[in-house]
Amino acid sequence: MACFSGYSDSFSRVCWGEMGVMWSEKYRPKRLEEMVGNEDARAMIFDWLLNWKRGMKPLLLVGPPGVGKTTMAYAAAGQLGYSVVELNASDQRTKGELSKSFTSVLSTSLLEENRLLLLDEVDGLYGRADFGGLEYLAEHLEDLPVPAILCANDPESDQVKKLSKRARLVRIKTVPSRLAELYLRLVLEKEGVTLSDENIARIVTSAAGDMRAVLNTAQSFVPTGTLTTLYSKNPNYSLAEAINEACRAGTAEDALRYLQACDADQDEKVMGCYNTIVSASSLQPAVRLRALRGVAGAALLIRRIKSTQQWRLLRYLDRMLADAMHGLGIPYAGDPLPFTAKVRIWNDSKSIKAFCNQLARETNISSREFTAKHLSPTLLIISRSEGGLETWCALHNLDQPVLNALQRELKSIIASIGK
Amino acid sequence: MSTESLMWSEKYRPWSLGELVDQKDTVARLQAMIKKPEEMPHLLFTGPPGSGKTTVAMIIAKTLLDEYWRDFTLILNASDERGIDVIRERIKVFASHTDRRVGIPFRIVLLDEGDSLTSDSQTALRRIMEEFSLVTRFIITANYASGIIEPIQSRCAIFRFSRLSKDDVVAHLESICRKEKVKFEASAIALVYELSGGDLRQAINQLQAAAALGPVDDQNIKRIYGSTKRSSVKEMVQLAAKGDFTKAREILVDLLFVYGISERDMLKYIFEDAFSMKALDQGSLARMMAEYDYRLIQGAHPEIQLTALLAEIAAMGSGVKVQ
Repeated sequence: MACFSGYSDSFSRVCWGEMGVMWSEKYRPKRLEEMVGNEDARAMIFDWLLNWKRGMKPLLLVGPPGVGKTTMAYAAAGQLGYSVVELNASDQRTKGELSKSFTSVLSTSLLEENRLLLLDEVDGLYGRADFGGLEYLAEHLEDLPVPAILCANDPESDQVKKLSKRARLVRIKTVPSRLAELYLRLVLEKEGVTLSDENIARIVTSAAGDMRAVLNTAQSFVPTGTLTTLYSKNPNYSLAEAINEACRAGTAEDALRYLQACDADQDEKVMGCYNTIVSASSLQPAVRLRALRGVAGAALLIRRIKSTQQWRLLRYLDRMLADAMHGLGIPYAGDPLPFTAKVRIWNDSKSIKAFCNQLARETNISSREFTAKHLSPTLLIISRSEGGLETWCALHNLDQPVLNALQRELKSIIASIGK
Repeated sequence: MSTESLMWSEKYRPWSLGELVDQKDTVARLQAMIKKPEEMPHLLFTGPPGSGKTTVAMIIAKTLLDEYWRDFTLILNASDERGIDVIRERIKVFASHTDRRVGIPFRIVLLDEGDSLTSDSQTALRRIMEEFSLVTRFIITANYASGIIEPIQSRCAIFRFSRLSKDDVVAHLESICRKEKVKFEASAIALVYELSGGDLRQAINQLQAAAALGPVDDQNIKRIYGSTKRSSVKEMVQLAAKGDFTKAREILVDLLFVYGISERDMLKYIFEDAFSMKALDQGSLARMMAEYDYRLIQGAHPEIQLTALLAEIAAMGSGVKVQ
């Protein structure tokens, strides 16, 4: 009963391919001592099962995906002569279903071989679909005739909180990167495949302690041999890296992988692409146009998603951006505004607005119209009048910062007139 | 010095219909109408900027309400105050007051640039116009009648203000110069008219600024015109069409973020400028601008859309085939 919890769609797509067997299954450890990381937890699980007597609390293994919770249960069971009966999130787990499974496990357990009940993904027990399942489980945990191991990802989930009173909680931690690397090298050796040290390091870092992800990602590298970096969803894979790689990618397809791998918010992605394009001074007009059309289209898509709340439209976003960015060959740029420009926006825009609003009111005109057509003539007129700008500002209750900003504005007007 | 006495455009704002520059047909109709104020309907004035709409509205208010006109007139610029709260809280409250002095036929709400009201606001306004028509009259101005919803149009007498003629504007500017004892060159006055496109307020302001700079000659007039943000938009479009995208975008960012030029105005000005450039294919330009305009209406990120628009113009200008 194979169960691939925590696999994202892109993983399964990439990994099944021509390769047939997934490394993460092929090299799933059969014995506890073959595993890496979590030494104390492994020893504890072994002792618990070895000394198991009816009435002992079941184990509740809690830890992130891919660190070996299910593997530990199977390995311990295999080593101590138990066969595993597994119920996971793919099985319906209503009160009725659970009770049926329990009855069948319990009724036969005395006659046949030793059984271990593995309840995987208990934090996936949901209210409506698995109605009553959680309560039933909590009730029957303590008097089970067979040893039971429960697994869950989220220690803060309601399910874990509810069950932890009736079970012995064991924390399973992520696999340290040096151990993950060791295991990966072992697998590569057995497969007769080589990967550069740099790629190995990247794979291990990006998997962030998820041993299954290490193996899956490594396997996905091998058939193409062209990818230089990762495309697993990873918060550590920054927007800058994703955009840099997308711009370097030869095809939109490749660029898409990098962009999909990056976990950044959709608005940030669009702004990142936009900023990158406008910061590049070397683009040919046609190339720039293609890129900006793509990004402007993506920005429009976001707007449509937000106004219609049709989030399924989001699936087109990365593709539009990939098409815009691939092959540009330009470096990522975060913020294209020079610092001086920002200071000006901060300091002067408010003051200019205050001035324009005031004069627009006094001359019965909209401030928009005033700003576009009358700002510079009016400033000149006031500055050449008796008392100048200073007196005028004082009379109109405009404070010193506004006066300063207006003087800067006037200076730049005069400078531009001079040429 | 108060703005009103400082700025010639205010100082020489006409205070009777007879002093008005041009708009003779409109003035004749209005003069007949205000003889019987109790029969005056709501008014809608349409026409280009600086053609006298607001001036005429204020003259009517002053003529009908006499010395109390400021107290009984609510002047709002819809472009600056266009939310529905303004309609509900300010206009409705003002319009519903029934207190009147002897000789005051009604209160007046002067709503400038009514076409920048959202259609929600306009809809809210339409009931107010009927409900309080016994005590309040509305005068709404707009560049185009099409910006005002049909139900409001049908509640108003519509007056169309035409673009001011060159002769009238030139004569008016020259008379101001004489009153202000400013020397001018005839060619410079003609240039002011050309550059301001018949917008009298803009023409007067440019004349006065040129006079502040020195002599009113062609060079100073051009300098003043060149210093406006409106002419920065033109510079931006020209740079883009010449292929200098980077420079054009710098101007765009400056206009958007330092001066707060709205994307709507930006498109309006780009439209005026781009369509006057013969180098750009007018058909593709129209299709393209219609698309970006619609995107901004939909609320797409303005900076990104306008930047893409500049890239489109740059590509068109450099002869790149645009599919």
